[in-house]
Amino acid sequence: MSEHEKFAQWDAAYVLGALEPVDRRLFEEHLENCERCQGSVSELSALPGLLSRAHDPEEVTALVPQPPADLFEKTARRAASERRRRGGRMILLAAAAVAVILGIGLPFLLRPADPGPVLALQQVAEQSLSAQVGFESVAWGTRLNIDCDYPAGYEFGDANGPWSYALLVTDTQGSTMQVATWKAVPGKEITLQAATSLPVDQIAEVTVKTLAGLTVLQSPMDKNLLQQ
Amino acid sequence: MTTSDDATLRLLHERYAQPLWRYVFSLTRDSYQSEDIVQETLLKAWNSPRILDEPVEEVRGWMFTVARNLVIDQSRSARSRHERSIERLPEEASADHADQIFDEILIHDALAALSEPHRQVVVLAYYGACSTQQIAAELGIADGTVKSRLHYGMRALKLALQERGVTR
Repeated sequence: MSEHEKFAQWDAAYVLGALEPVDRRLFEEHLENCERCQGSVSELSALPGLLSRAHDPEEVTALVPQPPADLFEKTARRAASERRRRGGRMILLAAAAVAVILGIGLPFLLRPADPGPVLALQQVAEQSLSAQVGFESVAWGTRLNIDCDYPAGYEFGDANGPWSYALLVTDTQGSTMQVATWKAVPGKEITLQAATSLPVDQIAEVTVKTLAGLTVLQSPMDKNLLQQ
Repeated sequence: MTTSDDATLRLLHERYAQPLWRYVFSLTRDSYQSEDIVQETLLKAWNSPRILDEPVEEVRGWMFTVARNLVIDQSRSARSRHERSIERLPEEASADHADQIFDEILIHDALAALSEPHRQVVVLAYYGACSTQQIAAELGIADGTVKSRLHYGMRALKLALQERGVTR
């Protein structure tokens, strides 16, 4: 074995400071006279500095929690609702034009075909939150797709953090149940889902309250929405 | 949502959700906010035509930038409303911090691209500050093998960092 061959693979350990002191002295002596080893050491010289820009990957893995398991499902729901809203807007514009020509009132046209009726909730309290609820009939009852808009530039919280809200559904018999709770996300449109065993035609009223008890939005179910 | 839209979103999620999440979480330290920003970033990508035809590295860089801007926007609007979250995330610091984390994620990604024997010795030597003999004892292999694995592993790492645009 030539002297170079003996040291040819020591470059990385040297650059990383991982050689034992005895080895390091031997390697440095060899390095003085070996251009090939000088070259290979300088090739690697930038790496320790780059590695220093990152923490130990294992420590970081331990510190950063995993993303929520249902991240994809939630994103897909948001994508679906975005598409629905966008599609809905286009149809509505076209319908509005037709309606003006025919002299028809617009409310009859506010009826997306799929996936069920959407009710824009009316503001009750002075709050800038607006929301609409889509009612999707499913085998087990009704799935509620709630889109909430928290426009930027308004307060939706206090010193204790963002306000929390609840969605309440009242049936045709007059009993009310809470079907969802969530937190305000100021400056964002959020989409969430809730569920009730009530069939959609037994839902009489939908209400959004703050968890402190203030009624913010409320709308009776629009019977026109159900005739489809 | 059509089937192909759904497949696109699923692919985007598979490729980018994990690193994006790590990136955003490291910036915000808030699971709730991170989830919202990761979703929004994935949706922005999903709304961009032909995103899947672009090189993975470029798309990732683009998505990190989008996510970073969302984090900064949110902290800015939080500041304008005098909310608590501002103290956690000063805007200027967050831009620097964001670059630092971006580097870190690329470096970790490059390390993860190494073969396990290579990754192991590099991590032990650098982050564990172990000597070749300590690594040899820990892994039950010869000291010469450790030197040799470091030699090849560091070259593989350099290549992986070059591929990710961290170094030339």
